Amino acid sequence: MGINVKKFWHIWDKIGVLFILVVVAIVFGIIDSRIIEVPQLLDAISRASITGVAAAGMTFAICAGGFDLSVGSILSLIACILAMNMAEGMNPWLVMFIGIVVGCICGIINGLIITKLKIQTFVATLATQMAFAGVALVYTKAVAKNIPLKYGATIRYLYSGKLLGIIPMPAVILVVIFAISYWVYKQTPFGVKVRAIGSNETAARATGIKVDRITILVFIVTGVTAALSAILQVAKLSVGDPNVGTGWEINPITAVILGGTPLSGGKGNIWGTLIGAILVEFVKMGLNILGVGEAGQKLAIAIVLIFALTISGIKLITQREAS
Amino acid sequence: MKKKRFNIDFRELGILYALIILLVVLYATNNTFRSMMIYRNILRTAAIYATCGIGMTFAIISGDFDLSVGSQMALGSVVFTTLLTWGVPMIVAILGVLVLGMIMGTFNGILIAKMRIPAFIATLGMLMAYRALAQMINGSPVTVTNKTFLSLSTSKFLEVPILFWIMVVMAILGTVVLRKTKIGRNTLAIGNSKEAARIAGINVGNTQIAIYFIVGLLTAVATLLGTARNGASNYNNFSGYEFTVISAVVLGGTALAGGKGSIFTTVVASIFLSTLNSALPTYGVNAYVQKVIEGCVLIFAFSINTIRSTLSDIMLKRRSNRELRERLKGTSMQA
Repeated sequence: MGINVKKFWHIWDKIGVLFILVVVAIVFGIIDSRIIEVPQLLDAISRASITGVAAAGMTFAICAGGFDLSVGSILSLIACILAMNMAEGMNPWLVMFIGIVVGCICGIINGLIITKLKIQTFVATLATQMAFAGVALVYTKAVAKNIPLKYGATIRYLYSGKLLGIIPMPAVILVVIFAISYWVYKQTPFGVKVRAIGSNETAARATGIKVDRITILVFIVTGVTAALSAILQVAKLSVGDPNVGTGWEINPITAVILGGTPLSGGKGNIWGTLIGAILVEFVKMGLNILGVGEAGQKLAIAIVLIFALTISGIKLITQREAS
Repeated sequence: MKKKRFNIDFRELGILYALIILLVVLYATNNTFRSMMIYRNILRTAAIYATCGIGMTFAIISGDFDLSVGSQMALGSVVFTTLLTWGVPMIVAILGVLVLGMIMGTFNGILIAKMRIPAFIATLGMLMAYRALAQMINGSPVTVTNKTFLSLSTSKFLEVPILFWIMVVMAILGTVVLRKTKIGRNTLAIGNSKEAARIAGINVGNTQIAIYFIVGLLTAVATLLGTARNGASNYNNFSGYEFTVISAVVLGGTALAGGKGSIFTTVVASIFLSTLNSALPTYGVNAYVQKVIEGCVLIFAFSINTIRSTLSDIMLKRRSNRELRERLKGTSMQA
């Protein structure tokens, strides 16, 4: 019995989220076959780029035993910075660079609060979530800013453009970001150190890993990936809305947990996160086609999150019983 | 020895001193703060913060917290006005909200205790779920027309708003439960160490469910107070309330690590935050800047422990250095 349980969870860790995705696709397909046509699936992947890029960064944070609740607010803030400056006609590449730098600064602020004031990550980022959202509201005076057509062509290409005429740009960006994340996670000293900190911080410190520095780096990663998500978000909608990120952090968090990264830290599943992000957006898109409103979609994602958490809870309980 | 006693006093009543200083400064520098009206409004808002905060104190003492209280309040108030528009008698509607609060709290508790989901993320999920439910029930604001219910907010007893008296009763009940009953003692034990509590024979799971039940019930009471004060319900009311309530509890000196805490100081901290929130606009601080300030207050509240331990470390080092120096002086004198 013990081996069976172990084997089951071993396989589940590898293909569980893919299995759920297939089941969801079949259920949606039975209800309404339009949902599983190719253009819709490509659309789901394009939408998943926004959630997915931030989720890639979040995987590192959760793998390090931490959490970043402030990504939604960082997304709002940077979307506003992009829109406000592009609407003035500034060079879009320069504005995007500034956005990424600001994301980096937000990450440094989070990291410093966590390491220097010694506050738990999710509590610290809960506070900065409010602070960053406030900054976005102050910056825009709480009014959403549209980017006029003539200035928005470059950034819109990032979402609606097609590489070689067929592959959507956001899918390309998504794959590139995840390939980089996977490489960083598997091949670089940073990835190894993150895993070490996540599985046992005291031991990591004892072996000479500079825990504080790595923690700050992890939050820079979440900040920068949230900034990239903001760029894609603005590319999609051409609007900088200070409220766009309110409660948005649940999407990347759900993607990471669905992907099989345990909350206890020390392990991460980068490709699982990618499938998780696609699953999250696929569920939302499917419900949208079925005529379920915004509130219903939010409820569905919350249920998916609780479901994913319950699975990891059951995993914990059965594994403990088996051993 | 004397210094140590001072430290303990500061820990328990620091927020009371801070409140007194704040009130003196405001009274001295600000004309608005010289009428009874503003103080009554401060107490009304504080009553809502504190009622919810009493429940949160239990959760934080047990070492976890509940992020879903703001959404619970939104859902509760939407259900309340929906029941009223259906023509349900007010008393039944009130009971309905209280029962709903208990159900939501118990559900949170089951997720945390039985499904082994960490509290902050379980309640983060429920934060989304409850607010989405509220939006699905009614996406637009509804005004409360029931005069009796609204008078809950406007009427006074001994010149102090009724809302505040209700909160005082809840605070006394909460203190009794925390200090004198098995649930309270178990809560403190879990907060100190879950493992030790389990070994000592405490049913940790059931105690956790009881804690979130208490949070849900008190949040439901706060919902009623808040709905009476707003005179309306809307699905996006009370958003971010969890921040304020958690700040109140933590500013009151209840340690985030758990195992320690007091309901009285939560109440004082609620009055402090409510005073701050009504003072900032009179200095021309707009609502958005206020949000940034609230975030900073939260970070400050969370880092109090670190700041205090760093300070006491420095003091300790200095004292031991001095002692060492004196001892060295003594030996050199002897020689």
